[in-house]
Amino acid sequence: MRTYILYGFGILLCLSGIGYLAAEYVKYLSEPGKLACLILMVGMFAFFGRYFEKIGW
Amino acid sequence: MRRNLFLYLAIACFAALIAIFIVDGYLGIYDTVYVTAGEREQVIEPDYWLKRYPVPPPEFKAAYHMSAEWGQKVFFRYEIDNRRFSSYPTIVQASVWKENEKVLDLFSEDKSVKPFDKVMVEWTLLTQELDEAGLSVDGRAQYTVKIKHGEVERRIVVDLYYPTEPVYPKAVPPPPPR
Repeated sequence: MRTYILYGFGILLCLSGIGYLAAEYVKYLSEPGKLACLILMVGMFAFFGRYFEKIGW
Repeated sequence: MRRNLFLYLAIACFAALIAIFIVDGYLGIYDTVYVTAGEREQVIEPDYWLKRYPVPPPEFKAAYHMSAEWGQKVFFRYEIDNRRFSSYPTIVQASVWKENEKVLDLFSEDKSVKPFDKVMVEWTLLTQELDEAGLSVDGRAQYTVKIKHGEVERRIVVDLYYPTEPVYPKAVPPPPPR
């Protein structure tokens, strides 16, 4: 149980770090760049969703 | 293969995201200012303006501060780097401002920068010209050199000062004989 709490804590830190870096870098992107990133993000999560659906999650 | 297809597509989207960050950061119009006053050359990289104000508020303008001696020449070199697929025609203007009023025109020229090419322009700020314009320095004064091209405006605040005589320590007289 303790291990899973630590895993969860680690994942949370990773996600918050990536989120912070992404927010910092996004400031320097042009408007078309931001739009393309948004579309790709949606596509990425959609494909991940489909993949997990296929493997039976 | 069919099951992993969506995983590959997701990975491809992630790779494209990273590629956009790199390509978008590289493409654009970048400018570098080289200022030489005395024996010291200062380079103002495009990052200087970007890091401070990624989304600059229209009412606030960033400035770079430097100092020079009155009577000394201040040499400016300004490089425009066009990292776009189209050419960049513009008028490069440089002028001296004091208290929001233009004092002196330093440089003005039409330039067209080819795609993925650079253009360098040069001018010199002579303090004598400021003297002729009726401005002098009482010990110390600040002037702003504004560089404009397109919608970009760079401000360099030049702190001009009169050279002072070096003060040497006076010789200490020997103690009186007892």
